[in-house]
Amino acid sequence: MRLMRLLILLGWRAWERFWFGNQPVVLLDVIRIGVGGALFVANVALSSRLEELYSNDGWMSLDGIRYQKAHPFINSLHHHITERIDLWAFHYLFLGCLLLFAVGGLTRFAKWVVLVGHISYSYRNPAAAYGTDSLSAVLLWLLCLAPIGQRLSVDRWLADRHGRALPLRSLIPGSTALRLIQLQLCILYFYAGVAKLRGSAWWEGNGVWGALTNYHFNPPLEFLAHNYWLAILLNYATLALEVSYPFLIWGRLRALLCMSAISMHLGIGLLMNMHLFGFVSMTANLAFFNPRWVRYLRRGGLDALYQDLCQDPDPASSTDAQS
Amino acid sequence: MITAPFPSNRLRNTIYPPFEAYLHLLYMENYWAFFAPGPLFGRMVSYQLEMIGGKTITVPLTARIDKRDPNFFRISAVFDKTSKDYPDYVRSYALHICKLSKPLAPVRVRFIARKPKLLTEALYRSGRRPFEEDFVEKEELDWIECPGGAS
Repeated sequence: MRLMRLLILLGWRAWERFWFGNQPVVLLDVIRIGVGGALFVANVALSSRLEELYSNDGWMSLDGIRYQKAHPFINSLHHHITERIDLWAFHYLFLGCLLLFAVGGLTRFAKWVVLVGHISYSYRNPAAAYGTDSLSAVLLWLLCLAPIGQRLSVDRWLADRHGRALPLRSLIPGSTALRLIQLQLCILYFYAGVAKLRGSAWWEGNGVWGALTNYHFNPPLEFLAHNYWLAILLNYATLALEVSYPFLIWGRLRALLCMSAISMHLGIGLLMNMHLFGFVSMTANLAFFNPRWVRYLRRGGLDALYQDLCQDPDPASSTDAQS
Repeated sequence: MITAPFPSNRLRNTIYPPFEAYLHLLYMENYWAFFAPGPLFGRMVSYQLEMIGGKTITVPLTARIDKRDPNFFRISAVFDKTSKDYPDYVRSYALHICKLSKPLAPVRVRFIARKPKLLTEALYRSGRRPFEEDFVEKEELDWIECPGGAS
């Protein structure tokens, strides 16, 4: 009986430590800057094709998405936009809020507009949405719940300048939000690995080659065709990384896995021209960043940045101060 | 709070309904393996316009997009949906093309998608390239009438 009670107590403490223990929640703001910046650039670029992709006169008329429109839980503000001027007004508002979100100005307001805007665009033309949009939607939602804008933000700079406190309001503690992002990444990688194993291409070592011969990517294949062993090696390395990620990322191999995942996304970004996808995925991986990895910042005189990385601005999650 | 869609099975179908609204509202209702699936070979899409008198012209769609265009993946994702699996999308695209081609007075339009098969590295070394005629499957979609085209 006593043993049982001890086990429950230990389990409860581990649970609390996992969800509410001290975490470098400044990483949430690093991820905010990364995701916000990437989406801002992508949406500025989208302006050149806004009407073609999202207006009723473009490729996807409202009639083309009538089934999605009729779905009770699929909502987009764009479903109600029929005039060109309204579309542009919405777009500029969205761009403004994306910029605010990225620099951390009026963050508490801007983050919700960004989330609603992003979902609205994704549902207005589901054919134009791809993996980056899904990943960004998940990250934006978790960032909205978290106390972002507390660090590395214009809000913080203004608050410090005027000597006032920055109100800390959020739906969940920062450490919990960071854990949710970490878990989300584990699920994504694991499913990606398992999905690859279901098909013969990746199982037999031809996955990377097959992906690179896709017209959409089409990098110079000469080198790989003459050194096919490299394509096979990359194939199995990708599988090993994705399947093992959720199990090994919590232990001593975290740095190695983070580096490998970031290298993989860098490769995807450069070889397949999927810059946005690569960048957002790399940014998401920063959720596993350990501040101890940059201890040299302190020696290099960047104490403030190091403190930012190590200290938790969220009292709810600051159970034990980290030196 | 995180999205963890499970492959369809009886257990998943039982516990799914309470989460459906949540997942849909937040654009998190993805196919379980949406993230980096198996290699997809892309589709090369073009369309044919038929004018009064039966004359047809073929216009490339995918091949026309500049790969340096920052919206390349969005546009090509749109054209990739030109398939029998998305009849509403295809109709919407067709009507858009009819509108764009109004000066040509088109009667009807149809899409042709070329889907490549896997080109092995040995074939690549021997000089073969993706999208060569014997390495593609052709999908011709049904003709769609342009509004007012026959008049």
